[in-house]
Amino acid sequence: MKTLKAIWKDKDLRKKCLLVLLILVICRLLCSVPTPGVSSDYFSEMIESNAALGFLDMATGGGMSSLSIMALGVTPYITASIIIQLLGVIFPSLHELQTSPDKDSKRKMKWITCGSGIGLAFVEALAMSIGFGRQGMLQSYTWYYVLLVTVIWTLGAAFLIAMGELITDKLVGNGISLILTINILASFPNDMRNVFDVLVSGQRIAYAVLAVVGIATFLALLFAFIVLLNETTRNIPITYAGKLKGASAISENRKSELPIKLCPGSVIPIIFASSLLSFPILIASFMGQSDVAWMRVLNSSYWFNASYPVYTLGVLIYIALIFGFTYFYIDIAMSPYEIADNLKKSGGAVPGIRPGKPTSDYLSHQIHMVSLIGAAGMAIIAVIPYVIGGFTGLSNLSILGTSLIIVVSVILETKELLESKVKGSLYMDQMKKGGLFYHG
Amino acid sequence: MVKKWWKELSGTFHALTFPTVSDTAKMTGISIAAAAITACCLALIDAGAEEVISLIF
Repeated sequence: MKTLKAIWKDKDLRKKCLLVLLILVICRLLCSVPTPGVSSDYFSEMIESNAALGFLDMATGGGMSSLSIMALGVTPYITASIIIQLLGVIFPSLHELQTSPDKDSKRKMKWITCGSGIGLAFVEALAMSIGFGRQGMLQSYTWYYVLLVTVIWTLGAAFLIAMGELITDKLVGNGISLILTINILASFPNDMRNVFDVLVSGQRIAYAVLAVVGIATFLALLFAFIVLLNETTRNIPITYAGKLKGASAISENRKSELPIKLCPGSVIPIIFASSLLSFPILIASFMGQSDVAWMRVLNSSYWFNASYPVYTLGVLIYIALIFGFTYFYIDIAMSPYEIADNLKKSGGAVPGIRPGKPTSDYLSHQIHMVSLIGAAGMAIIAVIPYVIGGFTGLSNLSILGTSLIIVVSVILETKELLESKVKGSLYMDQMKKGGLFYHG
Repeated sequence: MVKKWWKELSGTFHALTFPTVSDTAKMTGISIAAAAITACCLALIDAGAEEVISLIF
């Protein structure tokens, strides 16, 4: 509340926040505009029968199921940025560009990511228009409609990417994350209504009250668990050697900590795992063969279903993929060798561990052990929606699972950013009042 | 081998720094409030947009 008051008092910050809200509202309104020439309900049935595609629909704010002009949302940008991050491991010049601190490299990286995002949006739009167009998605399967829909969806994705970058560069917060969060949150009211219809509506009053209290408690605990996963760290103690002060005096050793996050990859391993599982289903759908028996193991709609218990084996594949991708992500995104090297250069060391390779090995081991605990936590959250879906028939709930992890992490990240902006602005005000700045 | 690995894993778990209960409660409260308020506003925006779209198309 204090932060909100401080934002309102600060003219510049208030203006920026209001502009962000306006952009987000415009992005949301555009999600309701239908694409000309498509059967808007073509995808809704397919999405209902596949929870992995359901996440895609949630990330596009329902744009995919309603086939609006924002059908692709910011997902091509997110996919492109993940691919480029992975390509950094293969191409050293790209890795150099990614890790370089200078502004020119950062600008180049931004252009590469945005360009790839728009390129990927074009490829996705074209593939969908051709692949699903001939199966009835397009009202008339002609080159004109294929091109029209491709251009509209690509421009829609490009607009969202541009707005995301505008928010990140000129205003407040991470634009792409905010747009993604808004899209996910837009599904909350509908999902809550579905939950209410299935578990509460039509029940006896005592049972209904109990169900509402149970649902509220469960959701609060889920939020708390995600906050815990987000904020828990393993702090590695670091000691910096004292420096020579004058002829003989040596300053004392400084102590510090190197925090390792419990889930360094956040939702990326889960997104990778569910994408990999949904990929064969999507290919089969393109070919018009979506209900092959072995594919049901990969289709999360059949998991925890009492009628098909054998297909629940797919969950084990899903969990194994989450653990696998967690290790894959930390191996490519985190470099214990670089951390150890930087520590050595700045005169720091882990107590009891020699600098250089032993420190690098120690950090690598610690990161892997911590990530194992984090991956277990993430796997629990990722599987919860399927367990609930299997037992209650409620599928694709945005109030659970991956989407909730994204929502909570973006809210906490934005809160921290706003608090730091307010502190910075208060500090500047005090400096000005104190007359420390010359206003010539 | 497995016992040693399990001992090490539980050691890592005990070495973790968890946020305090009050911090967790505060952050959970903020997350729930922010998500709920935004979701309600979005529901209103979506309902309004749907009405306008149905009038136009």
